Amino acid sequence: MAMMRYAEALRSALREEMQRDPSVWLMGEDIAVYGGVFKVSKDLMAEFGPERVRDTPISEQTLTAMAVTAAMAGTRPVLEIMYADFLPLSVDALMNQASIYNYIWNGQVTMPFVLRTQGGGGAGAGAQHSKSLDALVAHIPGLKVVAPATAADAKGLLKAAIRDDHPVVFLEHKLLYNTRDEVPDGDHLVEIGKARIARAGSDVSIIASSKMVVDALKAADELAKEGISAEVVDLRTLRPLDRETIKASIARTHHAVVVNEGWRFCGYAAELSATIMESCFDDLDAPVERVATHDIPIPYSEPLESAVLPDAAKIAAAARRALA
Amino acid sequence: MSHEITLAGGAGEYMESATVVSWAAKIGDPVKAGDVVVVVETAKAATEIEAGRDGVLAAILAPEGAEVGIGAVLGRIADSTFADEAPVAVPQPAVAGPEAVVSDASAKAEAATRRISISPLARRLARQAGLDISSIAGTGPGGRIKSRDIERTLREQTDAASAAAPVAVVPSPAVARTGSAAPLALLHGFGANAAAWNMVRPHLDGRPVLTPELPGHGREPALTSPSLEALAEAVLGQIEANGARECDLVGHSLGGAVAAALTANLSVRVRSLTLIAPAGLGPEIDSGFLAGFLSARTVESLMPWLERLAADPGRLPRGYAQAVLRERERFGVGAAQAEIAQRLFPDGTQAIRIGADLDRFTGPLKVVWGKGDRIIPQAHQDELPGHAACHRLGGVGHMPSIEAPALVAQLILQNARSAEAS
Repeated sequence: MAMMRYAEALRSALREEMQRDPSVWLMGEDIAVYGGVFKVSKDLMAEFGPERVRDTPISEQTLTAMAVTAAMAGTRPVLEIMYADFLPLSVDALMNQASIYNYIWNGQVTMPFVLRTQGGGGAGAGAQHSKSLDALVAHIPGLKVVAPATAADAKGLLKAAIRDDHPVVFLEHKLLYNTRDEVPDGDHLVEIGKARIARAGSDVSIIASSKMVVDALKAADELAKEGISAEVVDLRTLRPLDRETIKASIARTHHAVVVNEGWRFCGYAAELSATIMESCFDDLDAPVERVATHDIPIPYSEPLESAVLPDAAKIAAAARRALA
Repeated sequence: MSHEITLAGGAGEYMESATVVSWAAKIGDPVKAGDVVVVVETAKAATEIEAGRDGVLAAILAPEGAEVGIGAVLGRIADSTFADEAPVAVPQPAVAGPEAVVSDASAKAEAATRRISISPLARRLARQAGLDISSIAGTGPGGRIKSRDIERTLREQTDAASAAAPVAVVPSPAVARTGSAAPLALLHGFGANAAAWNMVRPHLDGRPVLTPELPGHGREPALTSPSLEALAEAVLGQIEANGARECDLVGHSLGGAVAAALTANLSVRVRSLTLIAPAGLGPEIDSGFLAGFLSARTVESLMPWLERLAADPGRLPRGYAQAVLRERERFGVGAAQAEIAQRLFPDGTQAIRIGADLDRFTGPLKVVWGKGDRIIPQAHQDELPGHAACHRLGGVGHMPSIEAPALVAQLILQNARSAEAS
């Protein structure tokens, strides 16, 4: 085990996979010489050369289509889109190319490509650099979507994503890059599609992903002081969704709070809520409580930004409502 | 054919009731579909109700000023030809007693439409326990019935049942439904009775359940010489009397030791054994509890001892102490229980051993223990044989069947199922 920052864990995943497999290569805006805006790919160009670590123009739509075709051609590109807010430019290639070719050509092509990006608010980055667009990509059949909350999962899931023959959208969070935790040594892989119990509890299940897991854990600490035992389920993968872990948790607690940093309306939390209603109805002792971002562009003003984003206090309040 | 005029003909949503403001037509007046026939007022607004079809207004059942419930029939529209029969067919409500008609209709309508707010889990638990939800007060938001309300109701029934202790062998309401499956035999602990399982039973998936009682507990007569073997024999007799040839056996505390002793019997096959904080694995036991429990004569002196049973005393049934004292008074079990304690736990020491019985038992063996058990140390788990599965419950004391009933039931069923599988 080694203590590692989330960004370092990602870098170590990239490095290990590039060492292991020469067909793995990186591209993105400012990722090579500058090492990435969040320094995830720092030093990798020096180690692997400019052929395998490529700076690109600011043209996300083209980049994504390039990555798709490079994957079809047999390489394993890892594309960085600097902000999740720019994902809409990539969506055509994701929705009309990457996610469907395997189906419409009857499995004759594989699509081993990873699109890394980071989203989320709380950094005062304004309406164009703070969004969580989980629902936008998780909506697309044929894509896998992962959203790790810890350094260990960031490494294990990124390595698994690079080895996956299907397109994977890898969602990071700008406020997680500097968080640290223990990362297992060696060839650490985390299976895509498996959630984990981040904290065991018996009264209410808080189901979250990415940075919301951190907030959910803080909320669980608060609730514990009031004698409420909250279980925190870290989804890790948004699609395919690990329904079994969710069902088992709610069968224990009978109360559910679903949390997602995306917008509330038609958001990922709504999907969780519907899933729980469909598969856990007879186990529910209260309506599912939903915590998500208010349906407005993320404000630049710090007080307003924190007013619209989910946080530990809002999650704890939702848990109390569920248990009322 | 007459057509009923109801609130459904209005455009608004009626939450509870409405008041008839004015009729726009008199009896016998022709009306056309879409004509306003009556105006009603809800808490929100006045609403016009239109005729649903052409005809004549044949009857006014809710006169102006009457308050009517959802679904009430306000009046009737008949075919014009029908008007010929009107004198006999349609009473004039003003004469026939409109209040009576209206209030009756409104009461019926309310009864038909009153919806009980209840969570899905609570509904399921109530169904399994055979509870009538219309008599349960909900404590959730807006009066919604939650699982805790079902549990509270069952606890209250437990209290009531303690006074009139249930017969030793009580088939669960679901016996008939599930047919001939081997029963679960649930054996309570020292000082308790069959009602100790009331909170677990709703979670047992409708499996047939037997709740035998220890001699000197509930309504079972005391034994003159209550050895562990004699207790086991008496319990076996109750199980046999029910016609069971095999069972999945569950025992709590002293009942756990009795259950373990029972596995050696030859007439009823014990398929699986689930022990909850069983006695008989080590010498320690909370002697203060035993002495205090047995000598307490009032709620005030008994309650502090009972509170030791649970990690969170708030989870104990309300009126628990009263129920214990009532049972002693009615059935005189106090002396019998003192005798059992003297015999099996002399000088605050467990003088019974179940290790050899457990070593010999080859079926699935599960042991459940609360980490907060203050009566029998959970360290006694170390004495269990290797084939036992141990479950340690956080935040739970000596009464997992009350503190974590759903989980206990789940573990009991798991153990029983693994017996079926093997």
